[in-house]
Amino acid sequence: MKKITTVSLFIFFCVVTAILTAGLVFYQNKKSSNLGVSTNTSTQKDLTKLIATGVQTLSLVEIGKHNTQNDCWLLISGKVYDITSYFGSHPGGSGTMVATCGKDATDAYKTKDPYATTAGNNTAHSTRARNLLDNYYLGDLNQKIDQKIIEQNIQKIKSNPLPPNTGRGDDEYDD
Amino acid sequence: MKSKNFPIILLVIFSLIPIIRWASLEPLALRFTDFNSTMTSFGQITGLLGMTLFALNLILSNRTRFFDKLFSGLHHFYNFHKWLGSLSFSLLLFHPLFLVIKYLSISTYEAALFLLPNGYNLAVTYGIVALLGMIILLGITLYFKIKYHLWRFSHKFMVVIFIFAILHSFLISSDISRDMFLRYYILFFSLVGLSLGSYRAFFRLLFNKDYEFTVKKVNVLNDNVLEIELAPTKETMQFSSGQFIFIRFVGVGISSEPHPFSISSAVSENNIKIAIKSLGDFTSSLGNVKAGTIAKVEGPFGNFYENKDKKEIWIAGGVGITPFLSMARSLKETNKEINLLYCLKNKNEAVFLNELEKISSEKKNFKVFSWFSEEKGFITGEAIRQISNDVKNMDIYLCGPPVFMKMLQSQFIKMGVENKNIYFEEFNFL
Repeated sequence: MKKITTVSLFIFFCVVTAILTAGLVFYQNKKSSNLGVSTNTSTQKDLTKLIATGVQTLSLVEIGKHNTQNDCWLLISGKVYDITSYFGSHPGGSGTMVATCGKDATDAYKTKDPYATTAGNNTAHSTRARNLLDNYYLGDLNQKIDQKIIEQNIQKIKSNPLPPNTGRGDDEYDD
Repeated sequence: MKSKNFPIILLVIFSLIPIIRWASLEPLALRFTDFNSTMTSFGQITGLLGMTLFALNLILSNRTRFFDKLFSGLHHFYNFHKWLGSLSFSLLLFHPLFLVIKYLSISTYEAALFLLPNGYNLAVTYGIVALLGMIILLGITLYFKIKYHLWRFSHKFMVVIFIFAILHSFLISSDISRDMFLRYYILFFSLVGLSLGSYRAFFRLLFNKDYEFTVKKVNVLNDNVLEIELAPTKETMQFSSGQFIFIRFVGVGISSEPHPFSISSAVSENNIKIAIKSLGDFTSSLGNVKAGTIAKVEGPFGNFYENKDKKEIWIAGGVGITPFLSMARSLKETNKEINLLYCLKNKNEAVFLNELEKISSEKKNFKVFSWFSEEKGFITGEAIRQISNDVKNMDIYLCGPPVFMKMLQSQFIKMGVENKNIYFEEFNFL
């Protein structure tokens, strides 16, 4: 067992050193980049795709159609989000999100409990999580989709980009 | 066999329960949809298992007569504790490595931030503190030979590390915080582990559970062998011959941590005797033990002497004579033949030989032989066969330096002795 521990320790130190070195050096070089612009293009694509498939309004019926993890829309506080591309990155695991695909996820989002039961831990998402969520914003509930809105959304994100990563306000790593 | 596997079976059950519960919380297909979620799931499993095993191992930091029996010997118990600790530590080392992978898919910068402590998220910081503490303390335990009492002191702080680990596992949002069953399961083991661990590490002394003895006499038998006689201050201690105790001497010039010693006196006596050869720092410092020194005694432990209805040979290497002394001094008239072979460097070391020969002359079935390696070389299985006429069909009891016992064991097995007929006293486990 001591050998296994030694190997584990060795792997641990190698990986941690590699990530810290790469991550912090990387940061020096790419200080200006931010998450906002990169995900913005995906939102733009989503909306363009929507128009192409003939979707007119972001109705509850329409939201309900996007109820799988390969195509997942959420309704949170009257806003519609397409979080499909975020699935693998959710700190709470993708499993917690899939239960709410195609549904009103307002309570689940507020309580971090996919089933919004009273047994949930009832902790709200962080500011950083909210900023991340904005990147997946499609529009408001029952809003008509047109090219103008796409441009508006893009303008909004461009004029108000996410701050570069200055620290972690995220409180939802998963154990 | 049954009793040997029992602790392992218990361990597997206790660690499988949270994993099964975890697996039933969400469809497994969702837990393992893609590479990132699979790695996250591994991270959750390693965390959950590592934490459960850590808690169980804190419970196993308490040497008790119950565990002595459950593990059929305290040295097995300590080996198990060491093994379980290493396993738990290895799992917990992989816990952040699996979890960091999904951040790597965002950027190495995000991944680096995940591995660093930060003020925004105390739960993660507690986890990092706990893991760093484990790396330091278990690194010391596994790779650095430091003085026993320093190591013992440092190891107590595993309890403090465990507190950080508990804070981490309950404050972080995870299946533990989401699911009531997992939460109470981990909480139960955490609290039991924490209370028993901190009891052993810090509070045991307050309860004064030990027997108290006073040193009555210190006999200097030769240059490096002492015999210490202890008289009970209040209650006497019942023991059987071949057992050992942990003694903590309270006095100036002696380090205060407990050490194991075989009892060498007869079971019928109220006073207990131990024989000590100065080997390390601690046993050398026992020269400072004087009449009147208080000794706190924990035990008795061990079941070395099975006393079956079978011919026996007792083989002692040097100071390994101590359990046999107690066995010989407690000996009643028996019909079974018992041979004692006392192996030493030379006649000067044979401090108990006269007394043993005297017992032998009084008991007709008990014979004593001596072997001096400076005259005849190291003892061999073959030589023992000649002395006792046979080695098969008898119980062989061995107590001495580990190399001595290992060498004789392998020779006996080559000579056709069944391993179950060979008994060891391995009190070198500390």
